[in-house]
Amino acid sequence: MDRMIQPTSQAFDAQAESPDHGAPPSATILLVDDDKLFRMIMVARLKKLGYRVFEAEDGEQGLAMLRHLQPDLTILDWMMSKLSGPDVCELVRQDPALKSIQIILMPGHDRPEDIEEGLDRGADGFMSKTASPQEIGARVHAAHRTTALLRNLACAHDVIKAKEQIMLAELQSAALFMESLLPEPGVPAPGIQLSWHYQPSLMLGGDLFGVRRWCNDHLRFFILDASGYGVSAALRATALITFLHSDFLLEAVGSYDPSAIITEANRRFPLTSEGEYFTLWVGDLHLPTWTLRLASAGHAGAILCSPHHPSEWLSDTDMPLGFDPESTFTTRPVQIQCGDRLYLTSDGIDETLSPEQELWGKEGLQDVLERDAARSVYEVMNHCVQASCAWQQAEDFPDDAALVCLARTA
Amino acid sequence: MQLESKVNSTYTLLQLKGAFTFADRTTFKDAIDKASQAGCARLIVDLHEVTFLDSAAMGVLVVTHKRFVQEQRKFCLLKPTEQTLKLLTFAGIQKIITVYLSEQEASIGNAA
Repeated sequence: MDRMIQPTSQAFDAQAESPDHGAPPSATILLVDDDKLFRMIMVARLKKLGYRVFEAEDGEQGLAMLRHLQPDLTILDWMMSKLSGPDVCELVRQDPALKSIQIILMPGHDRPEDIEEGLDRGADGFMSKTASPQEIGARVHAAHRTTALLRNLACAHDVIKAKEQIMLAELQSAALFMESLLPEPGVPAPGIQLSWHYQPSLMLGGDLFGVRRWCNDHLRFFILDASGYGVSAALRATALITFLHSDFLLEAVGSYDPSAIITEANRRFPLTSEGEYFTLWVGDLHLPTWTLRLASAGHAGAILCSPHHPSEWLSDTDMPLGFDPESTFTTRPVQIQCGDRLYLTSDGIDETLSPEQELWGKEGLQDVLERDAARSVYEVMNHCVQASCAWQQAEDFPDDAALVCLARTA
Repeated sequence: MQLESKVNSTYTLLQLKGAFTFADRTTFKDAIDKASQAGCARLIVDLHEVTFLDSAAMGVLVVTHKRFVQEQRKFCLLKPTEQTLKLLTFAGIQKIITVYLSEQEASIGNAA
């Protein structure tokens, strides 16, 4: 029991007895002290200050009431039976539900080592049992202000967390929708095997690709990249893919010629005022003759790897969509032979930087594609992703990463 | 990305350093707005310490160039590294924005 310091007559001066309306009507204080007389005096004092006061006669009871009541402020005696004031502090700080509760300790002595121990074990402030009524009022009000701020902060945190959960769920839903726009791996046409790896950077990507057969004799495919990342890029990419997949594409463009499609897309999707734009690569494979006709708008990601001739990047340095509404694009033919693999890649795969800020680049990607040419497409694509990750020494790509392979198998 | 602006009597030189990516768009746009408010009629963007440009950064360069052209002001790029030049070339940026290899050339060309 701490009976060393008793309240003095100073605690009862006339000024302190006057009603104080500084405390909010519902503010609560838990007073834990095994000195009944001191409790009686303090309770009267605190009630006069406008607080609702609860009492506990030892540390154990105090801890139980603290958990149950979650008061705005707890005033703890230092030395008590069962649990001391610092013991209670320590247990309170281990409980996340009680983290905003302010604790004022009343040490038996005003010794630096006691202050140090009290702070170390979780006290927020100290008050002598001989404190004047003015000091008691000031300290209690200050502690209550801190409690209110901490609780407001905790509420704001909870609101933000809840909103974050809602946004996360919405993003996941949108990401699933984006993935649903991608083609099924497999055999889109006889003699063609389609495989792909797709990894958006911020759950939602601005890179999309499509493969679609039409008129029995043609396989149309494209890869697009909306500049930037996240929701905005994904929405813009969805708008472009809707145009490219549209049943009215022929009506809108007049033909399925890749350069005609890109020219129309260039007209429909201008550079935005924020500098957002697309790059696009479009191919049309005539199946009876295995002639690929292709055109690109600033999209550099198509390479033909062949056992019959050296690898060839099938991209021209035409401008991206929307940079110049007067831009013209050209279609060029390429012959696809048995065993050829056409890889469509987003820049997210090869534009990875080493810790020294060196670009892995198209050369790095081409090295892996050629080195692993005899391996299965699945292995090649895995190795490309691994090599790019190893280069940047990170598993996540800073940009959307898409790698698509169309292999002629027969 | 770090950014430093130097103003002389005929042009403003905006020196960029590090990777210029999606995350740096606002910093760049703010610098352009500041230069414009100060009456900048000729802007040279120095890329010689830029290690990487992503697609978003290139879009910002193009839209800034278009804005300068519309307002009859001059805008050019200066001394991209080999790596950056390759990225600019792939994206067709060189067909839109003039790229100079020295500040002297840029100051003369940009004044024309």
